[in-house]
Amino acid sequence: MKLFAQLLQNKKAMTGLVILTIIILVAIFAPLLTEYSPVKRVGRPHQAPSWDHWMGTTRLGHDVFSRLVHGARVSLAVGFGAGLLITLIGTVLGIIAGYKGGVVDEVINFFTNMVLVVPNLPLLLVLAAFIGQASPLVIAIILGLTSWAWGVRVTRSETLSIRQRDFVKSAEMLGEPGWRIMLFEIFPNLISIVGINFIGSVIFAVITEATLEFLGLGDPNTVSWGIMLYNAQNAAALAVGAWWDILAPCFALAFLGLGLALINFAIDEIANPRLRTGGMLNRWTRMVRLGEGKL
Amino acid sequence: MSDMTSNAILALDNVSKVFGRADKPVYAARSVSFALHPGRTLALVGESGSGKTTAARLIMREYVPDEGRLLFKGAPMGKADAKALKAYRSAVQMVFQDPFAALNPTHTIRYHLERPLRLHQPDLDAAQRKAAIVELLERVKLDPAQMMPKFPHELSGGQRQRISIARALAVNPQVIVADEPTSMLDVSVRQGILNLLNDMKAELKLALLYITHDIATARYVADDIMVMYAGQIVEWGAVDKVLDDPHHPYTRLLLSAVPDPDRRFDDVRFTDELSRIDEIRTQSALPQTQISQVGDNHFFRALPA
Amino acid sequence: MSQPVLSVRNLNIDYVGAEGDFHAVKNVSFDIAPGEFFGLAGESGCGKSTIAFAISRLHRPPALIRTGSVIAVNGRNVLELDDADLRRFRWREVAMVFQSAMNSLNPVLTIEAQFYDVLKAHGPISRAAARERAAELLKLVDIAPDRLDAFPHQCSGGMRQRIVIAICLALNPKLLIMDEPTTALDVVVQREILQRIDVLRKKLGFSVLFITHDLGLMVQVSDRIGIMLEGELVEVNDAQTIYRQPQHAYTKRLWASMPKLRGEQTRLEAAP
Repeated sequence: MKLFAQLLQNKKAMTGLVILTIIILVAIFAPLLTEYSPVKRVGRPHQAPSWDHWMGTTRLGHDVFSRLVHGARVSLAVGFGAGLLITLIGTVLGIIAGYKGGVVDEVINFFTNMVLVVPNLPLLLVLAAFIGQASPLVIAIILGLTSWAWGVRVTRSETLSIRQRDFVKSAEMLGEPGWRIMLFEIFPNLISIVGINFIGSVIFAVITEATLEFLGLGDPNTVSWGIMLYNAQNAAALAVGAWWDILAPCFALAFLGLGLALINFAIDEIANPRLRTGGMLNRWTRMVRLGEGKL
Repeated sequence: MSDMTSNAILALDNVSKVFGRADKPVYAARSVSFALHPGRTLALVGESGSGKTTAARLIMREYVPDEGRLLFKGAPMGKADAKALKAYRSAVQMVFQDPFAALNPTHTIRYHLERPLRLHQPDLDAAQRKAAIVELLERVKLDPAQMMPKFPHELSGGQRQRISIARALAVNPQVIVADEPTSMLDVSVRQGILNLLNDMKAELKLALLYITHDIATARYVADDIMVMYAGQIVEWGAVDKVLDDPHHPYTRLLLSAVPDPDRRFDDVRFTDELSRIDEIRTQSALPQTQISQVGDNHFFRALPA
Repeated sequence: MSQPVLSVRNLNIDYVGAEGDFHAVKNVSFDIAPGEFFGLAGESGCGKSTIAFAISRLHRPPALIRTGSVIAVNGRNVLELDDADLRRFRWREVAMVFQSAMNSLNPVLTIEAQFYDVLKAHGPISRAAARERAAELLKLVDIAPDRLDAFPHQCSGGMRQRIVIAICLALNPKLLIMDEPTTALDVVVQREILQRIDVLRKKLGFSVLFITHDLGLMVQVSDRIGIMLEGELVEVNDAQTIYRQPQHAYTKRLWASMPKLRGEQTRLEAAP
């Protein structure tokens, strides 16, 4: 739809989408990109990057590049999976609370406040520790069920402001049922906020998963960027000079975060035309400098 | 008050709406009575805070009267069942003030006109619906082929208002409440919309309630007029009678303050009223229960002595 | 006439876009004499507010006042003032009243504090002296001095707008620009305010540039009127002439589209 078309024209969005696409493709075609298995010992410990091993090896002799491209699958899956769950819960509860008002609103607000007040990371640490070695699926579910509160807040306040508009009143006067109004009248006006919420949640989920695994709460048999960091840390990689061991997953996480953030900025720019300065401001400054006019 | 029995399609009978606490009540509407008849336009004129928005909300059933009744075809709506409510919803439609907020920016014009048809004429098939949409657009003097795929932001304010009117007409209403339909439009576009409302009223024998703060336009479109202040209707009757021979001090004050290019500030017809503005305002806000009659369609509330 | 209070010559203002420019004001020229009430009328987008903002140089990018434009207030070209001179010029020579008084008044300061702010910015003055001057100014607009300790939200819309006008007059400007000052107010309040402005104008001798889309009101209060259409000034004349003998086709159309309160009732035809 219209938003998508505008996204494709925006430089930031294009860059972000390209980055994201690269990572997704790498994740999908991981086995084709490397001849090594990510869990087999294929080289000497802590070999520096070479033609055989593009990104060197870990302390256990695993190929870093192989672990990186296979690990992408897990990070993306958890990121988008948890992100989707967070956004879904947040949006649904937010719209219902904002539209229905009254008792429904109060109840949802109560639970939202409860969840908001609990500090996210410590809660996750406790849960993950309780469960023991949390697999990525478990991590994704925990993230999804504990991080939706902010989304509810944001969605609810947008819904409240849209709800006052005359076209919603008109739909009610026509006799449109409540669920139709929420889904087809209000929700389409929330798409950019929901989009930003989603991307933000994905970034959050990716980073938090990596954090939990880095801290040792993940399942060490998983191949993911977080576990790579965990292993590298345990192997004191930096201390022994094996910079590739730690930098590879760091860079991968940063790269993914960058791509997602760029997409987010672009959505924000499109949703709020006042942020779209870019070309106009350049032309304007040039004209002032040439003496063609002033303020 | 004006006769409520003969062919009045919608009426408020002595309705009051109160806000605030029990010891400090604020009357948004006090003892308001009026009737809407098919083929006639009633103008409700008042400043902001006069209660005209409250009256609109009472008619659209957003508010429920605290005293008095809302009558539809003679039957009180307070005791209405689901069937009567549905009938009411398709009989009474509203045209809003803000053309920018009245349409959903994410839907096409076609969608806006399709929904009311789907809800209120479910027996139509797709082809019949399309034909109905085309007819509605032609009615409001817009080109159907051009308009149907467009989004609201691609239209001008006047065009949007025409779509709002088309949407209201889609359910074959009998009453249209137009709440300041032209106040947010450019001056040169306004009378096009007023003419359209007038034509629709005459063609379809609609009862039109025209709410405004602009008295001159009221004179242009209305058959009858009510002047409202502080929740009360202080003067009402045939539009020419009330405007040419106002009796209530507030009506006189209002008319004297309306910008009239034929007079400069130093040449004033109602000097008396303009020098007593605060006094008139205070007095007009008091409950006035005694009604005086001037002609067979001209009444006003007498100020307490 | 003696030196005009405001002299606008060849004013061109564009809104710069990424690809092209929007010409908001096209080569506009007009004068306002001392003590004159000049009305600038037109529909939305015609450029009248753009001109008003340009006089006090309140624009921000993407607005651009083209070289060659001249805006002279009491003989000095405003467009050539440096920042220091501009600060002195604003409020002392030209003051502006905007449409919504709530946007001009600081909601967390008392009325007295707002006066003090303005007076202090333009020269040393003690708090007590400022309070006295503020009470004097409020009296000009018929507001009791006990309002000095109130906050803006405690005053009605009409009162707030009158307070803004009083603050505008604090430094005795020669030109008062009013951009749709009464559009959001009731007709009776509007009448009170404009009547008050008329009295003050005759007493203090300032000129007024009055911007509105309400033509009937404009003829009632103005000495001369300029009609704007899509950035151009299409007709300038004294008020009664514009009303009774409009020359330009657009002016005629504007009059034709206004319903009359009195007199013959004719069906108005829509603009194409």
